[in-house]
Amino acid sequence: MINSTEFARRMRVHILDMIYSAKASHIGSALSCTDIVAVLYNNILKIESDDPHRFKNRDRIVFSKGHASASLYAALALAGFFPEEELATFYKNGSKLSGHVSHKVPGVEFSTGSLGHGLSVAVGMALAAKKRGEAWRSFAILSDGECDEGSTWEAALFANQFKLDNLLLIIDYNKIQSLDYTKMVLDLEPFEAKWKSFGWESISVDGHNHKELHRALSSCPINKGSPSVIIAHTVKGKGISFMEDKVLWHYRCPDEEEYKRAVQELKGV
Amino acid sequence: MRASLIRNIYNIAEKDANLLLITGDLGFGFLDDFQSKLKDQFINAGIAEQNLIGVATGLSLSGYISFCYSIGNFLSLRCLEQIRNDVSYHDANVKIVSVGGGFSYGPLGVSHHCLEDLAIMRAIPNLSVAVPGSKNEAREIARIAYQEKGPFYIRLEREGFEEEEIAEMVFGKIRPLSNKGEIAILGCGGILGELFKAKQILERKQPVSLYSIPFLRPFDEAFIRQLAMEKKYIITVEEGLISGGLGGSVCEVVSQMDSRKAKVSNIGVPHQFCYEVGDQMHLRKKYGLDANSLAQQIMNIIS
Repeated sequence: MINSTEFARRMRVHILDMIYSAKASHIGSALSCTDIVAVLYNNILKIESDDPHRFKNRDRIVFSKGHASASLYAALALAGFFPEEELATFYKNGSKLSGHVSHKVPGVEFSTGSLGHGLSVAVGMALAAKKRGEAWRSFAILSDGECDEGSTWEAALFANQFKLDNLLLIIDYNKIQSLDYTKMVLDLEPFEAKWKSFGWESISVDGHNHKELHRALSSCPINKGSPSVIIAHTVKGKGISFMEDKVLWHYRCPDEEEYKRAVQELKGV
Repeated sequence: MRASLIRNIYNIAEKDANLLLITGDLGFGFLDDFQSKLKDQFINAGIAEQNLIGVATGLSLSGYISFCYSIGNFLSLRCLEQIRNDVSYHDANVKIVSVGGGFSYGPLGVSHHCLEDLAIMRAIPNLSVAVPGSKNEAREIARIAYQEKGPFYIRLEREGFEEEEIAEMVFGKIRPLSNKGEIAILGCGGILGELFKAKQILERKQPVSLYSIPFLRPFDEAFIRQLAMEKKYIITVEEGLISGGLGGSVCEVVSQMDSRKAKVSNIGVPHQFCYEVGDQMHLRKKYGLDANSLAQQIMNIIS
């Protein structure tokens, strides 16, 4: 078994190849959550790749920032849910690997793509486990931008009301959304205080530090009787220097020269 | 109809702990038994309908059967994308119960006029759409929605037509209520109460057939084709938008036929907002949907 750092490095190589080959967008979003996803799939989640949906007590994960699908698909392939070669079909005609997350892909629990849906569904799953006294946990990964959506905060209220301490939300707080910095669009700050005021227990971590991520993800529920949120401070486009913290790389797809530079950085060749 | 449907859901829930009732903080006086006697199966999700549908989806994908309860447009129009992407696309076992269909809440104004829901819900793939017209139909639709795995939308109205005890209804099938003569009147939902009265007026001059259409999805296309071949007139009546509703559904079927005997006419609410304040009967009269106006309109069509 590889470690999560190597898992994340391989994910980034796949993400770059997939998005370049597909002439697709959202590379910055996929790279910002890569380390979170790597630690989850490599170290944390209780799932079985050979029978993803019949393992009744598997952890559920709703990847709500569906536009960063390349990240999830790369992780699922590396975790053995389907062959890595299939990643080359991303976005392609006749493929299962759609631009936004699809539950038709092995290992995907829930389809997303329209922001603000995922947390409610993860909340429902957590409530189901609670009601039945089952030990599995429900995870949701949200973007910061989708905290603009009112439905996210409806779900936040509900999770606290029903004391869903088996629910673990990770927010990829890269501070950039589609057209601008979140601060310039709808400022989320004081962000952590907002979650606390909704009754959630929170931890802020460096979303690229695997030790911190591992420790935070392993220490949930932070407090018995409360839902947990990990606010992962991340950098959009992390891992490819010229993409980091640039609004441009929400939508831009690398051209050939940029692709070659990015490959050099990720593979060190 | 509401009490009948809720009573049957309650009866089923007593035997199946997997059945949950999730309300959007509505149902005063109708959900008391659920709330007091089946506490573990009752959830008040608050005034947050989008989350309600998302939570119901998560529960259903984890093995529960979620009946969601609120007023007309609050679940259907507000949560359209949740119903499409979350419930229907994932084939989640979620049943959406909207009360106050048509002009049931007439005096409350446009926000509470529930007229477009059937057309909009019918457009979503993989979603069954039911509209009971009597207490019996409401009770039976609760049973069918429970037994048929998958997404369901149920529009409930205040009053329907009175009838004797009925045999089990069949999922997706039209119910003939009377079958005489060459004029087929098709209605769905509470407006069937007015249609029964209109039928009595019409039958002073000629016999008419009356059909209840409790399901717009799946739609009983074979029955419609047969009626179109046998009858001289098919007249659809609904307390809602014709386009995409019952009238639209029937026209979609007959327009594909190479030949037919029946002339098809549609009666419903015009494609406009109703600014006038009035109770259900007042607004039905305004739009020609009371028994007398219906009888007159139908006579005009057939003469």
